Amino acid sequence: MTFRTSRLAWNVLSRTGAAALLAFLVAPVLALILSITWADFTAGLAHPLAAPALKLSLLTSTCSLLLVTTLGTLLAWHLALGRGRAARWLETLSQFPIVMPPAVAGLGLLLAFGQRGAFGRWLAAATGFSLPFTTAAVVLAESFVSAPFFIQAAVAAFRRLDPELLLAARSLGASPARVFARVGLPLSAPALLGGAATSWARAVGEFGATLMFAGNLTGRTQTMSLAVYTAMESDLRAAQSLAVVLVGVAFGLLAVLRAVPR
Amino acid sequence: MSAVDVQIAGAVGAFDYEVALHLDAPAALVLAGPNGAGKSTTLKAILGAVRPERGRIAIGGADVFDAARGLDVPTELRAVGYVPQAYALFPHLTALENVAFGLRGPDRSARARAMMERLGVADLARRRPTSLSGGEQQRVALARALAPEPRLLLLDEPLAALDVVSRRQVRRFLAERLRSLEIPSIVVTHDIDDARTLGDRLAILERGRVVDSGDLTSVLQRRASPFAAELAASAFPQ
Repeated sequence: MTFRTSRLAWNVLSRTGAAALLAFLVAPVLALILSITWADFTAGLAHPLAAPALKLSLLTSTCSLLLVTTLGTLLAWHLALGRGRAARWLETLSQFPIVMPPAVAGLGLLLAFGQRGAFGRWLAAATGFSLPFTTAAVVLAESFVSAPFFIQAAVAAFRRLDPELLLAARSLGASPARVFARVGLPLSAPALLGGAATSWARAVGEFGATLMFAGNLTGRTQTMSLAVYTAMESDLRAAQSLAVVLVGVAFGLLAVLRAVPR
Repeated sequence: MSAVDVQIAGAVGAFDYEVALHLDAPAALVLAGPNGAGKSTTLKAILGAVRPERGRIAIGGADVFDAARGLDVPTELRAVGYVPQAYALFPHLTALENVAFGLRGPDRSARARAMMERLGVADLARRRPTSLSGGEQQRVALARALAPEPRLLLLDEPLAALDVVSRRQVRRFLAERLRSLEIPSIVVTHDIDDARTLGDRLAILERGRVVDSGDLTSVLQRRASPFAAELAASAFPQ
């Protein structure tokens, strides 16, 4: 094969492969949006499942976002500053939910925080409150699966900080807490925002762990993703309308992520 | 009593060091040596960022580190001013906010401004560090380190980040400043020109040991090591 033909072959093959994958990734999104009329979309949103699911998803994902960003920032700070093997192991441990199948995560949550679980039993004895199949359980399930995404972004951001900046701040009399608040946090803010957006997207899309640990109760534990699944059985139009809303949210987040300076 | 008294020993990885330094106020000591001699480790130990295995560090007569007693005063309570090699100005703050960072109280802004005036950088107050030249950044970093009135000033390779032309100017400015300070200072450098201009006292560090120390001229005359001989050769060209 001459140089010219091999180059041509590479161009054709590589670009065809790239285009095929891209088309595959875009096709479901286009199908969701293009196969529904405006009238069907608004009618679907009027379905009795839609409004409670929207409200619940907004509430639970916001709660889990607050939980994950507050505690996750602190954890990431210590992981990033920590030296030695222990810090690396703890970081790996914090990433575990990413590779854990969602159904397995749900089962794990149930066994830890359910009525038979160690913490669940203690909580029930102390307060009479049982976590599974409550809105709080949805928040926990969403936090569990979405936290690693935020932690990962935050650890990376904190590791990028120049150690000399932190040392200079300390030498100026700043306590570790002040170094974190006045130097670490503001300098890492854009990356933390990006991590929070990814983490929130994962929380909104959570399905498996929520279903196992919190169930699928309208108005109480039925989030958007679960409502799409439930509506599929009775009203495809409603399922599609909810799905289009989720796609819209995802697009909005992508736009935010692209706008955030890295 | 020495204003600064350092006697430390330890190991960082495979590198072991045993350093003794004494300095009376308000002299400027140049800690010179080739790369990898242990200069930065010594500086970080004085700052409290590296913990030696043995020894003692006293600043202004007060112990800040004593391995035998398990004493290790945290960096923020040591009152040691620090000007890092690349200055490490906080990029999200203006020059004035940088200088005021280590100050407390309602007059912190005024005090920061006064320090900037003393160092001739008052006109840079509202600028961000990224918009400043290397020489300007260094003056702002010096103002920031001096503003909280430290008991000791440390400068790590203060001229290394500058180009040749501004290097000469800044070297002269810095040498004058360090000599007029009322506190002792330690300047770390591997550069021969910096070593013989920035202080009156010189300590030569090689492979983790102080091979010679004393006043500049006598250390240069003794030529106690290859690095010292090289220093002397550039100080007294044939």
